[in-house]
Amino acid sequence: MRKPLTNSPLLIGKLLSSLLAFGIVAIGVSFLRIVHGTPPPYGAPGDIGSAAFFPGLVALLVTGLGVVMLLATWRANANVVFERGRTGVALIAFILMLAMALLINVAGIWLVSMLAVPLLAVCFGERRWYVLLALAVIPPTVVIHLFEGVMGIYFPRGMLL
Amino acid sequence: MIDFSVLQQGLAMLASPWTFLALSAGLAGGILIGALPGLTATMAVAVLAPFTFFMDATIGIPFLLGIYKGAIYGGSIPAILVNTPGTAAAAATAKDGYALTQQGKSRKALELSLYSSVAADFLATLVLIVVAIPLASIAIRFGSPEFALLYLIALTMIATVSGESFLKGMIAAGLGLMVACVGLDPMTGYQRFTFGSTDLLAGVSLIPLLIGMFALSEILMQLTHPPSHSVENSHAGAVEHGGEPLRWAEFWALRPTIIRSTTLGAFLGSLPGLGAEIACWIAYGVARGRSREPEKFGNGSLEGLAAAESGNNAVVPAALIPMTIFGIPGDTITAVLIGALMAQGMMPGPLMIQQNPGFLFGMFLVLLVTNVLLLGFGLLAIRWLKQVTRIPPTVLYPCVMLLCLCGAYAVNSSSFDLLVLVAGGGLGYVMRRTGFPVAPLIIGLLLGPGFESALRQSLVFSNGSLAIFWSRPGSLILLVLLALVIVVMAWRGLTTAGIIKKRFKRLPSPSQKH
Repeated sequence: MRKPLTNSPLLIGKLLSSLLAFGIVAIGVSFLRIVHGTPPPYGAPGDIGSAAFFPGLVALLVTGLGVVMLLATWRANANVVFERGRTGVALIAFILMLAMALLINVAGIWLVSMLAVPLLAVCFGERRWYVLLALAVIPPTVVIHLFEGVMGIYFPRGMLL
Repeated sequence: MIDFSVLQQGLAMLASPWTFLALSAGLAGGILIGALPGLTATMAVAVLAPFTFFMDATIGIPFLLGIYKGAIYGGSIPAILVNTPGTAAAAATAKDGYALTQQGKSRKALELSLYSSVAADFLATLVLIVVAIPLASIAIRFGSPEFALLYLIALTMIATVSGESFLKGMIAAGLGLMVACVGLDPMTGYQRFTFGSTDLLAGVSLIPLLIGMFALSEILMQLTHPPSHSVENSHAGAVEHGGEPLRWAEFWALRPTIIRSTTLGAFLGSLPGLGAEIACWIAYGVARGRSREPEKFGNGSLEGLAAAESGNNAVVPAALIPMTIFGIPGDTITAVLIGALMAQGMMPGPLMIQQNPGFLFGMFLVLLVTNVLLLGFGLLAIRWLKQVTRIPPTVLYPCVMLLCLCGAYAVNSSSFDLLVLVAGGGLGYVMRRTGFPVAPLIIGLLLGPGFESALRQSLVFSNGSLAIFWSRPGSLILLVLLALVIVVMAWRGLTTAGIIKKRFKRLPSPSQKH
């Protein structure tokens, strides 16, 4: 019986690699557009003295390499097998980290760290309530006091204070 | 002519009790972090670098050097005891180290690992001192064409040797150079790619990005592929730790292996892009090839263990050679060290040699003294650090994340840096999952401003003529070297991809012709 195409690690790898190559080409092209779309004296990539010279050169290189990557991905013997893993859990942890960075000014360091530290432990599979409670209290207290008390770095207090 | 004021400054740095304390704390912390499986030496240096911004350079940099050396050595402890390398650099150590532990000789393995590490580190530090000073006098005479070519050689080497794919390495280096373009143009002062944000005027914050790419991405990787508890590991507690100590005669008999592996490690470490994780395997492979008992390798060979440990530890001082002389990072850890030095207002390279010779001499002395301290801390670690390897990731990684958050914020007291941290974490994760090496991007980002300035200055001097790159003797030599690097790397890449082999197969052999 034939395996469904979507289950083939090689096909998934090729699709992902192509997507990445497109992303790289898109970054390169958008840098090139900025460089060429800005009027001189900045936007003159051909002029050595212009601020656009080096970014234009590098963006051209990256765009070209992105195209080569796209072509190389679909070669018969291209090794682009994507290794599976718990990507979903990593994505949740990444969203948690992003939320932590965005909310620090609003919620303050204490609230953010007392929630984020045990939540990341939950992502790692910790389920014992007393460990989670200890993680919510001990590391934030020690680390924040170390930075504030010893190094004189003060973090945003947010809505708590 | 010896400048006594430089010697005095260096000795004063070494004699300071604060330097000594920082070095000791760094070493102890480094060994501890290195011994924790999953926490890498780069991660340790990146996460703890922000602590040093509030210290004097004579305290902060020895602290980071201590962490670097301690972590590379510390990785061998869990590799020997529980067959789980604490750092990638200790992967080869696990092969014979754990086999010795299973034979009830863990004490001998741990002691040999320590003594080999200290011996290799000491010898490689002497190489650093001997090589750095004459090379520095040459580097001072370099002009912008030579520097442009030197940066290009470093970027090409890093892009091609740090990953499995030549193409992906080149793309990563290119992306790093693009990120380096964000901010004010170094020559004209125009804003580039800032999108109106004042937070990007000074460019993308280096340290938060480094912490994100090395530490946050590591946490995400550990979540994706949780560390497997193999049968061997689960029974590790049942293995009897201890056994007989290492005898002097056994260690003395290993001196050719240690010297050979140190030489290899020091050479590989001085080349940009090749870190301890590659050096340990090459040294191990060479030792096996030259051994009279190659069959013992992997089954508890003292030679194998000594080769792996001296190979990876010799990289540490050697990686400082390109950093101190040319400002080019030898590996990812020295990239973080450059970031820390820049935060202290120092620019590694010929300028540092001219402006801060006393500090540099003091740093060399500190590196020598670190070996003596490493011996003492290592012996204590052998005795007391067995339990540390059992800290669960559920506790460890959330604490690391909190340190990352606070460390990234501490650099500029800016919440924008936290976004850079998370973006770096996401980018590092995607790169690692898809086989892109992270090192070329970081090193491209670090070398970008210098490379751009050197390239544009050269072309402005020559009115746009490329002849400036071969009309000077120094630049001509470097150009030939660059061509050689490109040919060797391209040959390697094409052979790996199977393209060259195919072409040769298509050619008819001489016998077929006739």
